Amino acid sequence: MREERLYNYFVAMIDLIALMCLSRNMSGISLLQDKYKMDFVVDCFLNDHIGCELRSNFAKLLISLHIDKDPLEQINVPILTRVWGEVIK
Amino acid sequence: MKQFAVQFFTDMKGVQRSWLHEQNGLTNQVLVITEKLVNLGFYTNENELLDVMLPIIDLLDGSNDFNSKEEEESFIKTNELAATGAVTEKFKSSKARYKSTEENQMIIIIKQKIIDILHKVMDIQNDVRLTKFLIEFNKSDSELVKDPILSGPELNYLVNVEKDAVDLEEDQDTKNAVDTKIISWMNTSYKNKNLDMKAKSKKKDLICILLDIILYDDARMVNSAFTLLTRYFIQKSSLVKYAGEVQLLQDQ
Repeated sequence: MREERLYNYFVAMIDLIALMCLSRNMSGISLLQDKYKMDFVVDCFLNDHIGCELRSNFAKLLISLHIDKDPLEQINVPILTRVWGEVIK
Repeated sequence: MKQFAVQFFTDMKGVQRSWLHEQNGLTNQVLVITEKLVNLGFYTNENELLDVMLPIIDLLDGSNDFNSKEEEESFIKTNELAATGAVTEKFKSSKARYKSTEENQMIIIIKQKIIDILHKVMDIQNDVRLTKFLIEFNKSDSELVKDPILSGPELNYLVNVEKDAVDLEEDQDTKNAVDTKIISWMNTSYKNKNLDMKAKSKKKDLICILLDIILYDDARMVNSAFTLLTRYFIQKSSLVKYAGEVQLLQDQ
């Protein structure tokens, strides 16, 4: 019973941390990116021994804390403005 | 991460079970990661995109989904009986999957996400084709610059087009030559079918899958699937549209 409550606590905490970094929230990201390093988050997300619910929360955290952040920008394709001299390259 | 996503979707073998809520939640998150990676340009070549595109098209096929444990058990039983020859009639998937219920909400969200990814893949394919078209244009332009005898009549014709003063009898030959040339650029760029979802997805017919999706009781997903279907059949006209809209900047 106690383990279950502890597990649920971790599930909710990871979800909360993911939400704190949502939409490129820089204040949240800069505070948490060193505490939840990319290797740790990826390891937990890929670990088959962890339950699906916790893994999906780690996936959310991975996106909001390490993937969807500056300086990465969404690519807009097809690109409708091109430099003529660079077309052939 | 890319390899994990491909392996994850391949392992699912195109089957979704609506009662496995946590598993479906994880599938949705893996799809969100894939979508982010595509949108942020992590997929740098067509092969990588193809690797992930084929298993997710499998997953989009709703005929493999099970709405309840009983349905799956009945499917397994029918298959076993069919193997022994006791029954000849195939198992028919339930129509319940078309209904939008709380139970299958996550499956609908997953399918919606897959369609969004396929829209993006189609955008990338259009970009590749537009680039090929412009390369052909650039090559032809370089040849014309070197040969004033060839470029003279064409230039005159284009000036006349701009002024809306084309003499159909006098300019007919030049018009035909220009049209043939541009159609050949278009054909060269359209030949690229590396990301063609239907051509590449040989196991499953994407058109049938999308037509099946249209039967679902979810307006947003139906709209998105129908738009994808339409986009698939107007690829050539999209390329013509983009070729007309592209702005070419002269560098210093």
